[in-house]
Amino acid sequence: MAMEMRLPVARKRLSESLGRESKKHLVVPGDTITTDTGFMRGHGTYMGEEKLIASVAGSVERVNKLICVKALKTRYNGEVGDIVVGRITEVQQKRWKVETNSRLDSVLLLSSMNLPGGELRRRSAEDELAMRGFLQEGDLISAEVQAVFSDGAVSLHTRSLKYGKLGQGVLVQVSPSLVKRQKTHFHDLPCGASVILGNNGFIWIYPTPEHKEEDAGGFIANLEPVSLADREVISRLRNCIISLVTQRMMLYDTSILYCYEASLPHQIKDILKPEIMEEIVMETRQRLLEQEG
Amino acid sequence: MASLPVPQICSKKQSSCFCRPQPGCLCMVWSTQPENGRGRQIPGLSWLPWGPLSHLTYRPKDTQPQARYWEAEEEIDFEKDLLTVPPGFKKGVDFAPKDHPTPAPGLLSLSRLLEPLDLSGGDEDESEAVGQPAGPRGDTVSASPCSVPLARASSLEDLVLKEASTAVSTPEPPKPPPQEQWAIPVDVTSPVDDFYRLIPQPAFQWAFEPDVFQKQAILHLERHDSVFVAAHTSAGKTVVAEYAIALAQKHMTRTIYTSPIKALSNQKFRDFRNTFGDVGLLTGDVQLHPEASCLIMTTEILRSMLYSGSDVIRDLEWVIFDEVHYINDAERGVVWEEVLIMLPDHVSIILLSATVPNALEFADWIGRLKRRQIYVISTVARPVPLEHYLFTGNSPKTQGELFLLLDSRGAFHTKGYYAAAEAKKERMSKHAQTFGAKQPTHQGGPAQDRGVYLSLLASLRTRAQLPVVVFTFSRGRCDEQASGLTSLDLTTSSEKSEIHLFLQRCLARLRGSDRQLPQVLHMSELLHRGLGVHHSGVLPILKEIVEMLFSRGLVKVLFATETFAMGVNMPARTVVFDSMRKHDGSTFRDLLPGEYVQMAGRAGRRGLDPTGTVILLCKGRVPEMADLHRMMMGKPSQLQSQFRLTYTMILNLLRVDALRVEDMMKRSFSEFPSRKDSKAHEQALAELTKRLGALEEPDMTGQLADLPEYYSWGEELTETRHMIQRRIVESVNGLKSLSVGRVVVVKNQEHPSTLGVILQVSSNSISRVFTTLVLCDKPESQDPQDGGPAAPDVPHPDDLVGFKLFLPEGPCNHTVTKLQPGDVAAITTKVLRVNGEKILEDFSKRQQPKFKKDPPLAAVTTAVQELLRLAQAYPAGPPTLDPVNDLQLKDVSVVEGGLRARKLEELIRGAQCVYSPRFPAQYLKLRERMQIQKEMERLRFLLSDQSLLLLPEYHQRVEVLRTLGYVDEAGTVKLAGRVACAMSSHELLLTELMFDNALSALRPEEIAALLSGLVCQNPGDPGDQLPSTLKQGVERVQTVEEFVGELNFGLVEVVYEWARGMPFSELAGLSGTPEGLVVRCIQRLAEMCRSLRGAARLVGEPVLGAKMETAATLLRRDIVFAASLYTQ
Repeated sequence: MAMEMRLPVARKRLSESLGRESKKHLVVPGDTITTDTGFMRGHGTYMGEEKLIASVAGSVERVNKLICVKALKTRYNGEVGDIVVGRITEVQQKRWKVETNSRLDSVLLLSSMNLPGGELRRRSAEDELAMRGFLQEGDLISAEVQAVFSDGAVSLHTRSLKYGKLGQGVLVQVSPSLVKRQKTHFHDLPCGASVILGNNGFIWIYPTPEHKEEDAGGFIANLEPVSLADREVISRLRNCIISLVTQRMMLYDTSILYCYEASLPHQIKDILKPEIMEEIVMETRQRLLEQEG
Repeated sequence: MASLPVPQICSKKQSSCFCRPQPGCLCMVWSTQPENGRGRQIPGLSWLPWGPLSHLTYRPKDTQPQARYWEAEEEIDFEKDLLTVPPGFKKGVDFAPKDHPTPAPGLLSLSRLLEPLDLSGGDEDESEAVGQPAGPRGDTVSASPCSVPLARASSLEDLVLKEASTAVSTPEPPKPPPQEQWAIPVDVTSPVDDFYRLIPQPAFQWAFEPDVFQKQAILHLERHDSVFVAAHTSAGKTVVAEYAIALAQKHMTRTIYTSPIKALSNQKFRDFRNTFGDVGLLTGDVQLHPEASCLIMTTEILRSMLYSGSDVIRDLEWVIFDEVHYINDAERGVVWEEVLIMLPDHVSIILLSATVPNALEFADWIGRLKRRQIYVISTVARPVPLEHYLFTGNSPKTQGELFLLLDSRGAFHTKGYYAAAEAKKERMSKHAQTFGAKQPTHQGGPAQDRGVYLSLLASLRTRAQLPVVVFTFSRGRCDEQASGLTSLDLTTSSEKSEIHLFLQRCLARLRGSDRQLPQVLHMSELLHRGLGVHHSGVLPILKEIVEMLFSRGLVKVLFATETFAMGVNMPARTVVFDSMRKHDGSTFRDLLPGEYVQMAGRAGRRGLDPTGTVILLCKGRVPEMADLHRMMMGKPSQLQSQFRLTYTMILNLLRVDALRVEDMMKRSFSEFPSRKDSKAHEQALAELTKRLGALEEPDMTGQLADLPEYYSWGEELTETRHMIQRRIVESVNGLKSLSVGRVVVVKNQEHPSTLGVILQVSSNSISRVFTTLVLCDKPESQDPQDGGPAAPDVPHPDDLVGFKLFLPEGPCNHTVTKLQPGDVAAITTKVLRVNGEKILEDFSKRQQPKFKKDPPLAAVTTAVQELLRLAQAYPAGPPTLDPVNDLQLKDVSVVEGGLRARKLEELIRGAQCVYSPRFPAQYLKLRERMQIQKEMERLRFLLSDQSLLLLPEYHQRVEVLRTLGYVDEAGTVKLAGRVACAMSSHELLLTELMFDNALSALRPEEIAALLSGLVCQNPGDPGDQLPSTLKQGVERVQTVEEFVGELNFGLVEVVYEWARGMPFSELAGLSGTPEGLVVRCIQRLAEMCRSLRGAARLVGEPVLGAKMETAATLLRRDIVFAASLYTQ
């Protein structure tokens, strides 16, 4: 039986020529960003001895006089309106605790949920008792950030029926900084699967629901077996996303799709081999650059 | 006996409700069969077990036997007692069924009046339904899909017809009607006698019997319908709101009550809390019981809730919009529209408005938005009729000079008017005799005013017509007049002590020095004497004291501005108008009928007064009768869309993908007229597509290969020529050339390329008319080219390129036509010498039958001969004036158009297809096809976003946001955009200031002072005593501010000192601004500081955040933030 053995090797640096971001001002904690005092300090910076100093490793971003450092590797910092994928960790009175990769657990209030049946009424004690029936520990949900508390904890809500409990699919956890902010984070990819690119770095890949209108925001996992073809597409997508992440590519619908197409000549299991990863990501990069012109 | 189809329908519904697989309560469904519990929000989910409510308003008309029974009981003489004009109305009612927007109440046909006795028969089902448990959870049981799929009526006539046969709620196969009707006017004239049978367990009961329109509204509320109630201020719209609140409490849902102004919210809060208990209040600075089942808020708060997807919306059943005619407000009206557009479909809407003429149209818009029927309940009835008087007195001697102008039945008394004018004139002439002829424009100084008021009040007092509200349209005059009446004391000693105690209690909330404020002292002195002043310059707490004392009847005379007319029930016996002109921000103008009605509506206390008295003072001259008539009896202004785009709206909508900005614009009331027909357009489009599919393809082989090009060239040529011609006619030179005598080529319906000569040019610049003498055939030979293989409308190259002038066959005739500029196809270089007037005169003479046979004048025949000669000489048209060379039109489009036209002419000449024998037939086919396609294109355009009126503005605004870096290319909102979203007002300016680091360096009180420039409404100079940092700051703001118009730095110093802790009493000395305005400015400032604090947190700048926090706390103290008396 043929077997493949691999030994750890030092990672090769990506050729810089392809990256357009080479102009980025990168800093590590303690680096002085500027000594000019006319600037405003934003996230990821602090003032020390009349200097603006970075407190995280990442790229410096400026908006007028505001300077902040966007961390490359970070936990999730919630912003109102973000779409997140999270896992229920606890059922409490009137609320669920949700793990969303942020520093503090997020909360989903019973009152901010579309209850099954979508009926509109004030939540009663019976609803509180039935909470575990709606969502229990370990369930995955998609939701929107409704508010951010002063300590950074995030309050979620399921504003419409497209949010809610997630059924069958694959979860990939990546750094939140790699998810590109877009107008929509729900994508039905033409390759036959759908992804939810949570702003918190949780990415959910699932078979494209057939009867969309009916199923969205459902609370009942569809336990029908997913066809092999769909599962293959999902695993391929998952491996592609991992390759993109390893090469620190931004994740959005186009990049994922291009990577998927680039990976088609290879077998799914081979995608994660470093040389193949590099190859397909390079190809993706090339196509993206061409497309962006 | 009238047949009653309704109960069957009810029972059908009942059964369909029960045949649901899971009729049990939802939580049971959930726990036992989770896979079944997944459902969708069902719009219009009904809460009650199917009750007998469905056949209320519309009942069979054929109820003669009952009529007789009724007759016997009431003993009304139907032969003689019938009025055609109801008391208190100007017009009678047309009894014929019609689709009039507001069914005017009045005496309707007898059968209508006497219908509601369909008691017998078919009640079994209903009583069964009533018996259903209505427990808290039981209410939600009937989440059945049969939730009243209301019949769509294609038109109102249909509806009326249907009423006669079936109840309106009959489920009907939903066929798409071409013209939908979403607003359904409710007949408020027929009494609802079976009200208590239909609603056996009302959610709320009053001590009094509700009026008919209230009952009608309640019946619709019980059915979870949306209603639009338009009635006068004192008619009792609140009853509808109260019932909705009670209903929501019964259903365990929520009601939101929105009002346009904060003061009104406070008052409503107290009223509703006394009635219901579980009531919350959310305004900019107060949050009381935000969890309550009934929330009172301003519309702005509701809007921000909708943008942020607040939980409150989730269990909302009703939203009540009070004073919805505020949508006409230029500044804030857009908020109402935004809210109405964004409200989720499951929420039912209750709109309360003053009487508006286009209630139906407005309701239709909302109905179309929400895809549900809106029931329009409109009544012009006043519970207390009004009598309108003119008052001309100015001294004790003349205090009786009160002239009835408009009586309680709505009749205008010209006699009263003349008497008033007479009385005035008499005095005037006496005055003139004594002091010489002076212009009577003299409006009267304070002294004269005092005389007028003293005499008026004395007269009112003797007739026991106090309390009185005097509406004055300026703050200064309000104060002046109240202060002028020093000698007046209208209260008894017991009232005095009551007032004193009340004042003591209220003022105890204030800090020591605040109690000694000049305004407080002055006002308490006035109040003790029974006088009050109410306008925006008065401190809020004093305003509330005045309101409360007034509603207790302790303020006998209240001088108020228009704001007092808005909102809660504070009626007086008499309303006095100081003048009928007001300054509306830009000019002085007469009061609008709507405003007059609203203010006059304050007169007459229900249950206390038989009539309300409205008095218009004639201090100067007696106003023109026409003006008076217009103001008193005119139609109130229409509801109009004030929709506009704001940056907040764009940013908020871009942030979430639930609703696009385009959709918002598409749904706005301003787009409604053009969007109304979108369904019809869609249908027409589908129709055309079908027709296009059915058409056979034109044959385009061989010689016909360039047929499509030929067609498009032809079209383009015509269009280009048209364009050029239009430009010529619009241009100065072109107009000059189009003078009398010019020979032109006329091309329109009657004249295919005919020569004509201009006889007369009308001087009206908007639409010019050229009277032209045109050649034509003898009337006998109507169709010159009949038959022939080439149908007349297949254009050959010559037709297209040249003009191929029309040559009359046989004897030539002429006619004179009036031409629009568009009818002139070309201006030739030829000029004829004609005597235009003479020809015209002759021609019009010959038009008369008597002179028909007369030969035309020599001048006419010469002109005709000349034209004919020209036409023969140049069969392809005489040389035309060149727009570029002859007319000096150097416009790019004209020059290019000319070149293009020449190019096209060549192309057309070279076309091959015309030589094919099949050309005409194929051409026609092609043309039909092309025309259909063009029409389709037009319809598609109308349906698309491109036709939105505001689309260009939207693109410009997005471009601004993009340039400023608020959104990126793909329209994703970036950090700066999110910061701007957090701002409550002046979003762009504040964000720019913040990102420019203009605020961080300043101290909190300085920031506050600086920002006052944004919220202050009084212009003024910053003052000289400011610290230098502040001065710099002011300059800086003024430089940043490139895009915002007006900032007023008048209150910078006041705010600065206030934030530094100066007591309010000392503040008053710093500026001449009225105290009430200062308070309002500081309140808004505190709000702004709070939003800035949130923004600072968003960008991660803790120092600024802390500063803003401090600034807000520095501002929020003492009298400025004294809690409203209503919320205590």
